[in-house]
Amino acid sequence: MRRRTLLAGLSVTLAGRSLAALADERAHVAALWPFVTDDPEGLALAATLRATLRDHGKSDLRITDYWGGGSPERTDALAAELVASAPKVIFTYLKQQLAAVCAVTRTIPVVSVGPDPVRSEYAASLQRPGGNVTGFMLYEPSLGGKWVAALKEAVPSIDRVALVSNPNNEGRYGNFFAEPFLSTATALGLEPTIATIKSESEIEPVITQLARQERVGVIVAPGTFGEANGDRIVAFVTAHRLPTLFAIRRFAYRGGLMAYGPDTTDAISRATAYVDRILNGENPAILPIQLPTRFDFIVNLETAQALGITFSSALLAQADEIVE
Amino acid sequence: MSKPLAPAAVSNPPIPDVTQPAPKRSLRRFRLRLSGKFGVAFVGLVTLVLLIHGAVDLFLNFEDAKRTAIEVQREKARAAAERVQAFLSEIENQIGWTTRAEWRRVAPEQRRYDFIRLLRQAPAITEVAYLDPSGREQLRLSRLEPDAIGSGKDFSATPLFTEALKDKIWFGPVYFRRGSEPYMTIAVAHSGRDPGVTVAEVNLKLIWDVVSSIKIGEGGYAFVVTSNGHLIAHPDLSLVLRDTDLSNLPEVAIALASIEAGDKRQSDDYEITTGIDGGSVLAARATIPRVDWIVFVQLPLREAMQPLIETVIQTVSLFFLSVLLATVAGTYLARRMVVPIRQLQDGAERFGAGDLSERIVIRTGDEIETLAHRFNLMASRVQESYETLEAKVEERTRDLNKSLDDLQKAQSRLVQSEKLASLGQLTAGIAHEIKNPLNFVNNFASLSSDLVDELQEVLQPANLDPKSRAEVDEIAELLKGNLGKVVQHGKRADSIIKNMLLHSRSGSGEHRPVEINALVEESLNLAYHGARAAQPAFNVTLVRDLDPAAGSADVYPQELTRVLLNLMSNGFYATEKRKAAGTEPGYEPTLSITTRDHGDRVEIRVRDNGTGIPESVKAKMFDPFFTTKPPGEGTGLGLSLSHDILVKQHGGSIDVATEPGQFTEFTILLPRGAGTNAQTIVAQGQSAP
Repeated sequence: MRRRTLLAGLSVTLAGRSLAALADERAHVAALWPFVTDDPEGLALAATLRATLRDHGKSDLRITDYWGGGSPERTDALAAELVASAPKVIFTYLKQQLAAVCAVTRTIPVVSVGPDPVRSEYAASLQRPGGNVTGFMLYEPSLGGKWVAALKEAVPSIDRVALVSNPNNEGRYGNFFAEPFLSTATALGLEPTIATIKSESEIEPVITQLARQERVGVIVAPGTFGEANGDRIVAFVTAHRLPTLFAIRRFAYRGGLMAYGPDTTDAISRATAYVDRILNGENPAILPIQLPTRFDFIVNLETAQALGITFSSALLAQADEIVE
Repeated sequence: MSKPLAPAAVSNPPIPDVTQPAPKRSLRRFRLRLSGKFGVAFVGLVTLVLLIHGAVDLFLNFEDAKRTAIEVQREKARAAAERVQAFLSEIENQIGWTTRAEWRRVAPEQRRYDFIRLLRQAPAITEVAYLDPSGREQLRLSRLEPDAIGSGKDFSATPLFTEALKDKIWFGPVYFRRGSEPYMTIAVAHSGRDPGVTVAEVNLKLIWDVVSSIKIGEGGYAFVVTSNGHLIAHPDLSLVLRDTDLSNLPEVAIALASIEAGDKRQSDDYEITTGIDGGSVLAARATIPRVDWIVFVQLPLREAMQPLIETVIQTVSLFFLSVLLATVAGTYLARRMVVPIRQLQDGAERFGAGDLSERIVIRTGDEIETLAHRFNLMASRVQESYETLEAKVEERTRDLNKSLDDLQKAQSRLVQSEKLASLGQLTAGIAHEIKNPLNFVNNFASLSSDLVDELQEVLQPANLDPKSRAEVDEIAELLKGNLGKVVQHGKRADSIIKNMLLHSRSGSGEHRPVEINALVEESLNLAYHGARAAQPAFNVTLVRDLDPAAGSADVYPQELTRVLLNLMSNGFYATEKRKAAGTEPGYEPTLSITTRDHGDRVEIRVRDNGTGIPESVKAKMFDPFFTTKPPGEGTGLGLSLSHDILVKQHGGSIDVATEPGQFTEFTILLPRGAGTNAQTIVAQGQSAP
């Protein structure tokens, strides 16, 4: 065994330079992010991607990050640009990014984190995607109901609930979470609304509009728009004292009342394994798309206090993390 | 015969050269063969031993390694099965929380807390529900969906309820959510009377953590299949998520078949077969009876057999190293062994070629050295005895030569004496027969001479005419002259006959001790006066050099005198002859006599300065009847007699040294006991044949 390792090491040492050159030539990974340049969250996730690939032994791999922010136009442009650079593997984060890349190429392997490629018809099935797209899903539709129930339990006084959504995140059959959201809200005796914010500028009017209603709770659906504009939404809902649940965990730390969502860093780490496997020659068509297994429930006591909300002990018991 | 041989003889010369090295070459071949043999024997033996050892070792090792590998795999399979089972047991334990007997009576809110805690602590559980004793769902908590409280769904007829109540716990079949993620329902009945059931949906994807942490060597791993061959846990999660059916994989097929047959024997719970990724693997399995899962542990055969391969490499390399060492050592030892043997051989060869001083120096401290010592010892013995032998041979040869000389001398003396004896007899006979008529001749001649005188006296008075008288006188004178000649020659013949009789008479006289000088003096006087009587004008200078120490010798004096007289008269004759030649005016005839004492022998030398003896004569001068004197002056027997007397009668010797026209010197050597010795020698000579 040791001998083999030695031999392998020897050959790598001998061929190191040419291999590096080859890697530079071929193994180029492009990552398309829904963040603007220098966004701390984007940088952190990109760093995670790099670190994990390095852990897989791809240290000389060239990774190019494309920062599209929340802008669909810019994202589409970047997608075209990165496909033109002919990377070995494309990594996309969230649905809009996957859609942008898939609009340009259906051949370059894409490892997606976030959306359900089967629902978007980029993949045939979870177990055998059959195309160039595979990856890890962050959410399942039933979470729409879970969020409503969680928000209602946290703030029992609300009569209405609004799902803030961006049309760019919606697929052919409407909002991913709409159906469970609506049915659960109805079951809990809440009046559900799907509040569509088409662009950044519409954030304020829509939030203001929602705030006009009495006893309303807000759920911010995940997606490119939410990632890009989460902080702004937090600011407005805080200003309007709206109890808000975010699907994206970090906004609970940034002033949101609560969040119920997956650990994105973990998902990216696991997706990196797929990037690595594809770089090693595996076919994305037979790499199963994986469902999320774990969601964290985070509550922000500070915000709750500011809103004059007292969480029940049952709710606090459910919380995985509490921000104080 | 010689003709057909001739060409062969011509081409023959190279043959010895060819045949000569031939044995050498064969010897060298033999030498090489000896060292070769030794080396081959040594290396062969080592190789044989190593081969046998290696083969036995390998055989034992192979069995051992296989057994060990299988045992290890089997152990790992059991361990893996235990860990997977531990995963299930852990979940069961977690669920067990909510199955206390009093749980039915706790407040619904408290139940929810318990479920929340359960979800928190068991990440594999995605959903948990409580069915009341009637089988209705009272509480359901999910990670993905809103909690359902008191939904009242009826599960009383489903196996999860009935089976759980029956067996306390029920493991549902594995199902794949959205066709991908493996899930299993676990229903645990509560304790106490009239129990409810807690139902949990377990995401089996999380067994991955367990399975991937099971390390089987470098290239080996563990995987889990259900009782119908579906893969539910594998280090490569994507295989599981693809809902892989492994029932056609040989190892799985065999396992499923044996489980179906109810065969739980442990002996055949391993296979050497083709693995999922192809390639030979050593696969062992263990079953988890509660869920009818089979845990497989497989290791690439190559890796499993790595210790064996290493052993083989080790053994083989050790073998080659040993053979190499043996070859080197064998060659070295063979050389070491052969070099002294070769030295011995060379030494023996040189010794054999005649170099007896050859000694072999070998310092090996072993039997060969001893052998060399023995050889040297033998060589010195041989050399010693050879030298002794040579000395002896030389001595014997000398003795033999001496004997031969003696024998030859005796023989020739014998032959001579025989010859002389027969000649003596003959001459004695002849002389005797001739002497009588000769006496008649002599007597009647002198009588006739007297008668002639008487006739003249008678005629004196007769008157005869003077002429007639003169004639008668003349005739008478002539007659008288003739008769005188007859008398003279008759006397000569008489003396010849007398000599012949003397010659034939052997051992005449008596031997007695005689004073040599006196004898010589007497003989010289006799000879000189004899010569003067015969020839009054004869004159010669006599030189005497007589050694007073000459002493006496036991000789036959009469015979020795004859010899000396003979030699002296010969000398006188020679000087006379030289003087008569008249070519040398100042010539003074000289005869010298010398005697010398030589201890037990006496030397007598008679030297004249006469004419000398020519070389042609010298060889024959001792032969009987050989003479150079004119007829009537010598009998030719003088020197012959002298030789016989001196050599044969006295055992002495006579030698002559001469220079024609200058001198002749006879040297006589006489033993002092000559008479007695001669007798003995003759006696020996006679008895020898």
